[in-house]
Amino acid sequence: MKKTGERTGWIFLLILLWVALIRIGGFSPLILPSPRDVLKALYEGFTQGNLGWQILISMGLVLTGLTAASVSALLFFLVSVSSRAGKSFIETLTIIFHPLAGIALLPVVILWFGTGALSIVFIILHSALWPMVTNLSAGYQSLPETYLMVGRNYELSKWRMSTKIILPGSLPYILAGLKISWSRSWRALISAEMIFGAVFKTGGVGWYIFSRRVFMDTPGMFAGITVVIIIGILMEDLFFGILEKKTVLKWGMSLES
Amino acid sequence: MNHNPDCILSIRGISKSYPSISSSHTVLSNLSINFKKGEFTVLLGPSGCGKSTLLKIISSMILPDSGEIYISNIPVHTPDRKRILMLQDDNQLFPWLTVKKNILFAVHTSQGERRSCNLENLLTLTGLEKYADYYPHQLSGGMKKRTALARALAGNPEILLLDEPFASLDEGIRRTLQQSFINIWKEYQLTVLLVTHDIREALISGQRIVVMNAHGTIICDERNPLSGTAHPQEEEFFTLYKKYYKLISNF
Ligand SMILES: Nc1ncnc2c1ncn2[C@@H]1O[C@H](COP(=O)(O)OP(=O)(O)O)[C@@H](O)[C@H]1O
Ligand SMILES: [Mg+2]
Repeated sequence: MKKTGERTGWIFLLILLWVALIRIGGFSPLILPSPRDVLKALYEGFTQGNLGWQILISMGLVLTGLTAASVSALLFFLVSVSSRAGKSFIETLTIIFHPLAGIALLPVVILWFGTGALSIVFIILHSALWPMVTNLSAGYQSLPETYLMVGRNYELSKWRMSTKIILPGSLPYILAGLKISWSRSWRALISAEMIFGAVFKTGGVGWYIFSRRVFMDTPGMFAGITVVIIIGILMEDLFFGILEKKTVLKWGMSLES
Repeated sequence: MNHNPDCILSIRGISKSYPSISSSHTVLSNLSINFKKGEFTVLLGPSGCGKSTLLKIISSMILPDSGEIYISNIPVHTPDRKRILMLQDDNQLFPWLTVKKNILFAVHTSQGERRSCNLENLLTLTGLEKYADYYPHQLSGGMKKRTALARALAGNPEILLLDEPFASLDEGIRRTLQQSFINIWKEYQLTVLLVTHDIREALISGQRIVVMNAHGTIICDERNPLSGTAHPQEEEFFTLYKKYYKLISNF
């Protein structure tokens, strides 16, 4: 909880700096709105606009993409541990696609899947998949030989070896991969939403931010950005924080230690 | 060839070398030895002579360069639950399972349980009652060893291969554990091969003592004269101690 206190303190300081900047610089609210304006816009976004719904759409898209990526990563991993050829094939795929930014694929994705939710999910899948595959195989390689020896000694089937030993044993790496995948797909999602517009009628948070521009609603833009930041912090500190506390930290398996 | 029906484990002509920087480093060469069912053998040898390597070969965790392992006169090449190896490594417990679940791992994974494993018994025996719900990273090195031993016993093997099981234990717990282990061995008629560099341990636990020199060659293989004596005469003990000390340090 010490971490939470420190974090809150720093954020408070940043807000103070923000206010000071407005006072000293005398910026127009159209260029740099005050925290109060942004809060007001945020409130109106929820009460008069569709911001709540838009957040749900964004989260839904990210979760769908991440789930698809997890399933594919697991399949790729199984292929890569099943044979030498499988391993080198998956490695090659990773080398080709991992460095490729999701946004670079946009024109092709639009050509293939149009400008709907499917395209967004595909971009997220791409952003999340490769870090997951990389971390899964790093986790497998870091697994102590002795765990596998114990498994072989008790005659575990391939399936049980994977689920009882390999997966839990590589959990620190799996979680690290999930974290990277989450932050990459969250970024990719917000950019993609701005380009694809109002998927599911209202669009997501990305579209909310982008559409404020039309009305020159600067506090609204800042409100949208704030939402993106808050969700990022909640996922990082709360979701992953709790997940780690209940697993790898409890088991003394954290990568940092 | 030895076709003695009593012979449960037979090691025939085992050689093993590891690749090293200059050439290959031969650890075991043409080693042969037989073990009778129900026998408690201690393999005594200096550090680095190849004891752990031999146990891994016997349990088929690694394959020898040449030679064969026979279980009841049948050659074996993959690990199985009949031969459970308790590794020397501290890293053999699963960190995501509690002490209790680590021990039960040996039971849950078996198809048909041959002996109902009495978890309470095993915990008491190894002095881990209070630590059943601890995770391995919360245990001392000695407690980890005891958990690994309990798991190996829970697996109900025919042949138990123990790699320095009592090393790094406190003197007190070591003595009680050694004594209770001897009782278990008798009760379950286990065939035990225990590996150690500790002469004292060899003298107080084994029925048979096999001595390996630093080159991985067996230089002595005999009944332990102290076998079955709970409190040996000090004089006899030290005479034997000196004898084995000379054997393992002379090369
Ligand atoms: N995986 C390995 N690769 C290379 N050398 C090894 C390996 N394992 C053991 N050795 C070497 O083989 C010799 C015997 O090792 P080991 O069987 O562990 O001996 P002991 O258990 O008697 O101390 C040592 O010199 C050790 O350095
Ligand atoms: Mg050893």
